[in-house]
Amino acid sequence: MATISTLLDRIDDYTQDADNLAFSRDQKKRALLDETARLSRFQLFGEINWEQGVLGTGRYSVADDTVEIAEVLYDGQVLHRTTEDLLDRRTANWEGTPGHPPQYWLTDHQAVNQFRIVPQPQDTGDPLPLLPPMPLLGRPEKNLLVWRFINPQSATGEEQESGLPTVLEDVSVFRAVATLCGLQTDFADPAKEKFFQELAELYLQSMGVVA
Amino acid sequence: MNASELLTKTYEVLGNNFVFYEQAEVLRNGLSPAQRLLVLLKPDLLTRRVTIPLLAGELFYDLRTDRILVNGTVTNIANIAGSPQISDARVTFSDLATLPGWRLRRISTDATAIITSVPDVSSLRFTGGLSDGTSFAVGDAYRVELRTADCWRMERVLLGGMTDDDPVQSNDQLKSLTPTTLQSLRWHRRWYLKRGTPRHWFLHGWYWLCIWPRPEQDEFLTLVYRALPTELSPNNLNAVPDFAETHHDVLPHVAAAILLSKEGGGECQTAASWLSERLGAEPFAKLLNAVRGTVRDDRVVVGAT
Repeated sequence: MATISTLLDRIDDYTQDADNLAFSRDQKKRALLDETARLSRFQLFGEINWEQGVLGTGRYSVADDTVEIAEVLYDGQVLHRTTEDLLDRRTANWEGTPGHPPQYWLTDHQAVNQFRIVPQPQDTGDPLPLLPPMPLLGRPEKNLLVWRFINPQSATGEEQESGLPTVLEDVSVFRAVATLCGLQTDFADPAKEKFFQELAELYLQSMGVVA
Repeated sequence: MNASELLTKTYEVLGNNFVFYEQAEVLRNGLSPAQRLLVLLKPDLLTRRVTIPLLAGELFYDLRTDRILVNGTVTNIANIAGSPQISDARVTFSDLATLPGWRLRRISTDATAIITSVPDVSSLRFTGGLSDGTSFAVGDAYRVELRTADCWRMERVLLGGMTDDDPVQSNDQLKSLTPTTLQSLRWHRRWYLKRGTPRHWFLHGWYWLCIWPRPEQDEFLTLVYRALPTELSPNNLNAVPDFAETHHDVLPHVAAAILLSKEGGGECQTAASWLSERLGAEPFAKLLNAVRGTVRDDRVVVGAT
């Protein structure tokens, strides 16, 4: 796993622009991070998080690096994924109906890192740690477990690690080079753009990432 | 072929242009990506079997780490630009060279962690220094934490040890676990809490291996996976690619094609035809046909319009 700086150096090599005359360093970094974000939308990077369930609280937030929430468990049990529309059809006043353990989770009309559980918990979960299992140090009882997919490169410092496996670092670099060479500037190079696009595609298809 | 010989052959393909293609660049941008491309196209080239412990009650295993700490000693420091803060330092750790396939997770001392970059199996390059203002010195002991992150496709997960001809049972069990998905487990409302003898596995993203049901007692598993090759480094030109030598001769040509592409324009078409010719002439052709579908005269034209 290389640092952002190392990957930018690779982009410098492939674009022959070590002096940043054709593209600024920020432009290259933006292209690289955009490609990392694009890869993360393929649900490649999973995380599992523990969240404390809180009495009367139905709305929860997880980290900003979230791309998608895949599953939510409450009290160690599966909650059913639903939508506000479906709940409206089923129960007129579902948002104000207390008294049951949570049965559903939904993400519509929320920020991408937020979800709601319905009905709201009637207890607050125990925050004391429990070992094992890793990586969840909290107890599942009356608490939440969230399966989510993330963008591993939320930080942008050049000395920070890319968060990607080496093979996806290649893909990000190749795609960033293609993006830069495809910009309508004096340094546009359609042949190079196409070559690097196809090379990245070859990697991804070999991994089964792109259908 | 070792890295040095691969470099020589790559330069031959590139017309011995030592000025335009620096050695580090050839390794970093040519040979290392070429290695990875080859194992992606022909996964059989590099398969690994490792045995891992699974503690009672454990459901997850992080494929990035093996929780092993290596205590290294600084044997050499060079390129120090300023003291006490160090920039662009190269430190050689005496015992890392013997651990191919491992990657740096972090270096730390009792005082502070050090920001690192360019992980390498035999040496480390980093910027930054100790937060208390002191400097590094030869002979200093550092704690080096390593990880494996070389799995790109999990093939099998087995209960017990099956890394050689003498299988080892785990609590009287020796069996293959079957793959499942998080979506499939949704139908068992209390699947997360269930304990028993592990029967299934699934991956959550690239790194998290999940075993179900969670074991009631300590077990050990064997993972069989398609692996990524160890990066070639200018610090160890005797290193040999991890896969069979029968395919080493492909590397210089694929590396040269990727490197040539930086010249842009018509050279990209040359690079594409080099890739097509080399890959198309090798046993990779079938695989390429399967993944690409852009075939001309039984050869895949990687850069075809």
